[in-house]
Amino acid sequence: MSVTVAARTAERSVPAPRVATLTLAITETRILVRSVTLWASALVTVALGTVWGWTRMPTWDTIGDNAGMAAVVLAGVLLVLGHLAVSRDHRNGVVEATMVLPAERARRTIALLVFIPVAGLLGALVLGAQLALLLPDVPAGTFDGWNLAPVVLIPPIGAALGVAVGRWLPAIAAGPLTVVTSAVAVIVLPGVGTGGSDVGRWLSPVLLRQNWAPGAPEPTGWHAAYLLALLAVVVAVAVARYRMVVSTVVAVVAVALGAVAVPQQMRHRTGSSSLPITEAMMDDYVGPAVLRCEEHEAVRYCALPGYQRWIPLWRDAVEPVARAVPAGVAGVLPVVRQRDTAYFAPSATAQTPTVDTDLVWGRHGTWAAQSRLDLVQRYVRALTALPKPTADDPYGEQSCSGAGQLRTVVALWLIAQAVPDGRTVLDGNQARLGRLTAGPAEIAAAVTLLDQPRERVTAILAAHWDAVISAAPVGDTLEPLGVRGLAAVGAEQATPCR
Amino acid sequence: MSVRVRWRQTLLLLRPLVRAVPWGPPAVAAVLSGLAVLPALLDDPAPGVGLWGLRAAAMLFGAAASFALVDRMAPLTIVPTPRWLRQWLRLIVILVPAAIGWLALYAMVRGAVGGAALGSAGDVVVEAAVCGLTGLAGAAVAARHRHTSTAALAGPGTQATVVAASLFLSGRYSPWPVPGEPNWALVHRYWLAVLPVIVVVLLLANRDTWPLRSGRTASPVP
Repeated sequence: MSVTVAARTAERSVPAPRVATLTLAITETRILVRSVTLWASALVTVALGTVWGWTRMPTWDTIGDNAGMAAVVLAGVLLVLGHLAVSRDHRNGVVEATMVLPAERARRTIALLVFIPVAGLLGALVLGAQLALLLPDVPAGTFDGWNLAPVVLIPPIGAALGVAVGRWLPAIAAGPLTVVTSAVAVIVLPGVGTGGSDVGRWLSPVLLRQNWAPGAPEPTGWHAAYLLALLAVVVAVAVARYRMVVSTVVAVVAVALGAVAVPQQMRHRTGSSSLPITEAMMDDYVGPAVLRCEEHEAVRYCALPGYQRWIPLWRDAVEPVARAVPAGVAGVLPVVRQRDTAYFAPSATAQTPTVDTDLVWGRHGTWAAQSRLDLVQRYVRALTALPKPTADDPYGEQSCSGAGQLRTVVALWLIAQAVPDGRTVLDGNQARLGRLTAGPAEIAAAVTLLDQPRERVTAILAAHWDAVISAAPVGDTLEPLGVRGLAAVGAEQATPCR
Repeated sequence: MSVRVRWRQTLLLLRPLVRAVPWGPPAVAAVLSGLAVLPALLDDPAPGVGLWGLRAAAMLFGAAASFALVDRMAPLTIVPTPRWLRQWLRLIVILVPAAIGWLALYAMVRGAVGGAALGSAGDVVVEAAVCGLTGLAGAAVAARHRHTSTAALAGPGTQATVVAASLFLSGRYSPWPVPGEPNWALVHRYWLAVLPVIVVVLLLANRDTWPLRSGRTASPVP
């Protein structure tokens, strides 16, 4: 009887191996989440992602790049923490003491794999924090969840690498040296591979590769699969010391997955470096069929899919210009159309005048102001039909003089009255009129107009709109507003604009 | 204590210190540094690859050398040599081979990619010295307060913190330009300005741990 009772008590007091491992895992998680270093690095990660994206309105592409690269920092710290945790039984002369504990090294190693889900959660947390810090701005563009997967997968790879290295090389120096080596790999990898093979890019943790056309499919899913395979290989290395068969199977499956995922990323497809991109191919993603257009106050705005939330930003720039030109006289107002100017020079004239804006818009302070000024200038140039870049000079580098011309003064005024700090823009000679150049006299005239009520200037422009959109001299057109004595430039001084 | 006595102590200490200092980390760092500069030694490297390899090598050597500065027996031993002499000797014993290793890699990379792709030799050496000595300075400060084996992690930890801080500076503010970028000269003036700061930190960290007046025998008993 008493023997049975004793046996039962013993049965109850010794936990099942699974329970013991779980308890160890919970304890290790507790130790990890109490680490000041961990939370400090999480803060640095969030701060890095936020700072890198500070000057540009967020898009899902830039979020993927910035948050992904910032997650590499978190992964580095998790690597050291994982290494320290697993090599704990080798420090301070406790090797012999830990060898007689009921939880043997194999179980402690397996329990430490709990760092992987914790690291993944932490990755999700820092991603969420970065998205929350963007508010009220919401990322634009096409959402691709797989492109954000590296943010959640890279920290676990770091943690697993720390456990794996620590299990095989418990010396303390191994942790930091692995971090530096991994950092070198992250820096060097994108440059590996020459000619058509850019294999290093696809092996990098973060793709850092802008889509060849906005919204065009990229093999981000296969990249996430490759990262998962990498994680599985590292885990297999960590437990290989104790569970040879299981880890071999895991490693083989993971390598097989990687062997599929990497070539799938490199596959010849539209936009890969082996196939040149033509404008016709771009049409599916940026052509008229996919543009989302809205009309506000007689101006049509056409945004690429996902970029509609930028239309209010464009309206802030364009509407002050549109309001200042005489309604009905100026004809159809130019359309604001978004296109990817990283690949193609500004489009030639269509039936309706078009103003291009691209996939970048400044955020905060001067960056936002500069984007706004740029669009205002492009819109004014289209509206007043200023000389366009010619075929042999597509970027408008050959300037001509607009001295003494009505359109020069009007364009400068339109720009200045449409931005909050118009006077500063004029005084600093920051207004750009394309090929047309303005002198101090035209700038002074524009300042004079700026001091007048806008309705008065608009009324005079209404009467002389034909002169505004030609190379006509100012003459006495603006005399009622206090502008007089503007001389046209002589042909001997500079080439006048025709 | 006369200079002659210190010199004799130095000679006596050198051999045991060479045996005491951990050589594993610097050896591994040397191998990894070789791998880091390998892409630059191969055909047709991308621009900046050689310089990045050398920067990484300096970081690796600095991180590995940090482990030499922690004297785990320090709290237990009473010795006639002052702490500053022992700590500086530890630093020199590890720094000389590390510096030779880095300079050898520099010569190899320079031979492969040419001087123009690396920037002026002085600038690159100053940069590498700061990268490496930052680790040693961090470890030296930690070694002053702790004698456990993890104390040396303060070295790589300091390097990592400084690198992470430098990542906040991008574009023309980045302290990591490649040759030909307009901010190269200015940035390297800052690198040079940081070097004396690190040396001062090392001087302070390697001091004796209790106040001593010159001419007295070092003794822990007040």
